[in-house]
Amino acid sequence: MIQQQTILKVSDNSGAKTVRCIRVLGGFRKKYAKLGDNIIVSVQQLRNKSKKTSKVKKGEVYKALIIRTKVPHKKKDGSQIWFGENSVVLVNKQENPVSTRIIGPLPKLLKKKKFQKFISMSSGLI
Amino acid sequence: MIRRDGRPIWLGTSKAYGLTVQRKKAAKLVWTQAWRRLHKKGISETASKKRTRRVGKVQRAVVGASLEDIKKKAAQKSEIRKDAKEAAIKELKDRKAANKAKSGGAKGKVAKPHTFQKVPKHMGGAGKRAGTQR
Repeated sequence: MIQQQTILKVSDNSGAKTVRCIRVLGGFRKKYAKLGDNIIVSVQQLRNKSKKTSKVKKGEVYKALIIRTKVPHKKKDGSQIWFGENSVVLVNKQENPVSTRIIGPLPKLLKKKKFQKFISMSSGLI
Repeated sequence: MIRRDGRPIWLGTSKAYGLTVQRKKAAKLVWTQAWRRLHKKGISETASKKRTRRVGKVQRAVVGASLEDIKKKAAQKSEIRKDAKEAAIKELKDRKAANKAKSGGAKGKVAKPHTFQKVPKHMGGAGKRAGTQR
């Protein structure tokens, strides 16, 4: 349940460390975003090591794809999956990834043609 | 719950959950299994039981044959085999001698296989080239 003002971690090598959600996309007055949704974010912190080589700057506005949430995602067979953090991958206006690598696995929910690029960048599906 | 590195964690109680969120190490908390393994608590009883002596091969009697019969047969086999071998060799030798005595020189020549004229390697060059078509 990601909403405006939610601070999320960034799980790719774009250079950003944390971002803040500024808008939930996908409907009129849509309040919450969940796994697999797109949101608009503003970059809050950069990673220390890659401050010079980062692809993004502090304060820039990007679209982002939510890849991990603490709130459980319920599957049709009754099982649930949840992660230890709320995490995001930065994405451009055409919903293509800004970075070249994703840290950690993606949920199987994202096993769709649309997310093929993200799956190939990550360490796998879980 | 799945951690950032992709490894799932199963937590039973809120006590355990609270401590994992604080990133405490299980090996440092005295009541945990990890600590007990590290400090070798409660292992000595289970470890000592494992040694048992292996029983050697025991020959048992079967319905058809008693123990003595089995043992006899086992002992016999090596002798029989030896005798059989010797007998066979003897037979061969006798046969060979008999053949030689019968035919003499003629049969011996026919029996020999056709041998090729072996040309030494360094002289065979010219002959080879003439024979092959490239």
